[in-house]
Amino acid sequence: MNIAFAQPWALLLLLLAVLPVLGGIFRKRKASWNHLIPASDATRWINRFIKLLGVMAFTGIVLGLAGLYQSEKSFTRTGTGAHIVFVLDRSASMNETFGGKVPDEDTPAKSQVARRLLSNFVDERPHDLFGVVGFSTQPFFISPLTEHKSATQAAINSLTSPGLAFTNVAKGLGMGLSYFQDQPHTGSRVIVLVSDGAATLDHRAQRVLREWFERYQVRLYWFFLRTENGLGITSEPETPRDDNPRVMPERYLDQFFRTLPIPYHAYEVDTPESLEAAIDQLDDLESLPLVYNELIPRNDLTRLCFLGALFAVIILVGIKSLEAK
Amino acid sequence: MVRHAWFSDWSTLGVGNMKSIWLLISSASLLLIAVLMPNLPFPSKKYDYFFMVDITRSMNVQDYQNDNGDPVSRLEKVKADALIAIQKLPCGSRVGLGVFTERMPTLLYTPMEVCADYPEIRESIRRIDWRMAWVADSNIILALTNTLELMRTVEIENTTLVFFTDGQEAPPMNMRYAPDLAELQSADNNAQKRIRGLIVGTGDHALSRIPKYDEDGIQIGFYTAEDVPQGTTFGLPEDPSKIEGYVPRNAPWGNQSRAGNEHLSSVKEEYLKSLAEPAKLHYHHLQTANQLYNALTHEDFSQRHIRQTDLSFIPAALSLIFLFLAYLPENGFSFKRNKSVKPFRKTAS
Repeated sequence: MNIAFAQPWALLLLLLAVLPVLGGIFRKRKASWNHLIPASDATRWINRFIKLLGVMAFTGIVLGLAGLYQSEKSFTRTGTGAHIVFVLDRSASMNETFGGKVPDEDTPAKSQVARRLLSNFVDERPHDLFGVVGFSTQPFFISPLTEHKSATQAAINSLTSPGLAFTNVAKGLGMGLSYFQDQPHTGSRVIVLVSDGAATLDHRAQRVLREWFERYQVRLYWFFLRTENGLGITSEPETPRDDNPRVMPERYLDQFFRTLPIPYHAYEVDTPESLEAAIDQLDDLESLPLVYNELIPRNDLTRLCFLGALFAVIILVGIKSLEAK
Repeated sequence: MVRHAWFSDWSTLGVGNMKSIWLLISSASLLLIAVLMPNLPFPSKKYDYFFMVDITRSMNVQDYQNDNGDPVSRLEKVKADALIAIQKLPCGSRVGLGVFTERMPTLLYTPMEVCADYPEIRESIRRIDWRMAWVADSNIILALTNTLELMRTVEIENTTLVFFTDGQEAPPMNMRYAPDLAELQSADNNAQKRIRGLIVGTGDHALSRIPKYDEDGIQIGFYTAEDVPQGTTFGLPEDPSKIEGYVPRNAPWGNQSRAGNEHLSSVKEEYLKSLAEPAKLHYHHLQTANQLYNALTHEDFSQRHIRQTDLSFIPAALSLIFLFLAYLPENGFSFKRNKSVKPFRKTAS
């Protein structure tokens, strides 16, 4: 029970609760001689009960006025789910449609499609923790791993902002992996890379990424938003001369990901529908047992206090009405 | 001797009506109201902000002090003070975040509620880093123009823009080619609404050196006069007669090397005010978190909103008063005589 008060200063009024002990609700009467009306055991107990009711009435109202509440609690539960970090490409080409054109009303930009689908995905997975990283030439921290869906939704909205510069996949993934540094290992850990291009990784970046993926045991999903007629993950080079990471970065990035010691799935997505299908598949795959915290929001006990006081006062009214006139 | 045996027949009427049953009944009925009354719509203030933070290198200048007197950079100061101000905002207010470098702002997240999502806001503000910058220049006026446009693109034009910057243009701007902020914010243009906002100037009035960092974030010195352009060379000069060694085709900006102190930085208050005025934005110079909070919660930025408010404390407090009166000793505030009021105890004899 985590009990706290919204206005603790009002507790000063608790001093009023001594009133029923010192005095009573009844008129004082003169008696010729006290010994004529001896107090029986029953009288004394009834008297104590009446005082107690008075104390209850005062305490109840004052606790209510002080804003008694049970603070936010989190219960640890076990369910199925994952810790998911979205690593979102914010490069300039995300502003185009899947057809590589300027978006209009019927054909939204890739970033818009991705935003809508990711947003639905977040809504459908109540127990997962989500984090969001953006990257262009540099990575930027958007929102931490959190169970607050409203925060994650606001972070995904960053996709509506126009894209920036280049695609530096390595740094984005690096920041995404850093989210798992001090997270307890429970459920599945997933990085969802959403990008529409790739970049060559230098040896240093490759080594660091390989090490971190292995250390943190993070699964990788790559949603590659391919532009129509553009090069894709599975494109074969036409001539051996083209078979190098400069010309075909997607193919080489895919090959690098395949060598990582972790489960890896690549989805080449070239229509909004296929992105939806890929996200559905992710939904099915990532449901390992997960220890998650369920937040019980703060519970206002004000009314309960007033109700207690109400009962005490009603009984007092009843007793008072029995008072001899 | 006085006693209060309630079963006594010897009633002394007219001691004062303080002990009337009606006090208790009123108290009970007020409590009943307190328990049953629904939450009522009650107008309260709230604020919606979009914080846009300059992450260019001049923001690394350490010309603020923290509570211990240690120097802190402008960016750290902005982060710390913004968080303190956010903490004070009433629940229901919302804060969104973006950063800009060069002339390009980007949205990190759309406004989040400051109470429920405070941990996320705190974490994301703490993690703002100058190394997020994807390009290196710093073009404040265009960044401001683009921020206003960005807010319209992502449909948060009803929020209050809070634009943190030191006003250091690098390279210096040729004001002939500056966009017209007044037109962007004009009320005549029906298609767009004027965005309310505040420019927060950061930095000291005295010039300071700008630290220079390597790729790993380790300081390797300061920018020197040779590292930065000391004047604009963009476009055509406004008044060629003022330029030494002006040659229209080959040297439109003169053939002399220019001296200057563009490698040093201070808060460019005059410049920022000259941006704020046509754009109808407020200007505030960042000094303390409290002053920032006051500037943020200016009348112009507050939004009235109807919140379902629990007002049960009003009948409950009244009920407490009636209960107090019901228990008030008849003979004023003296409790002395009540000692004799104890129920009579049988003695052993």
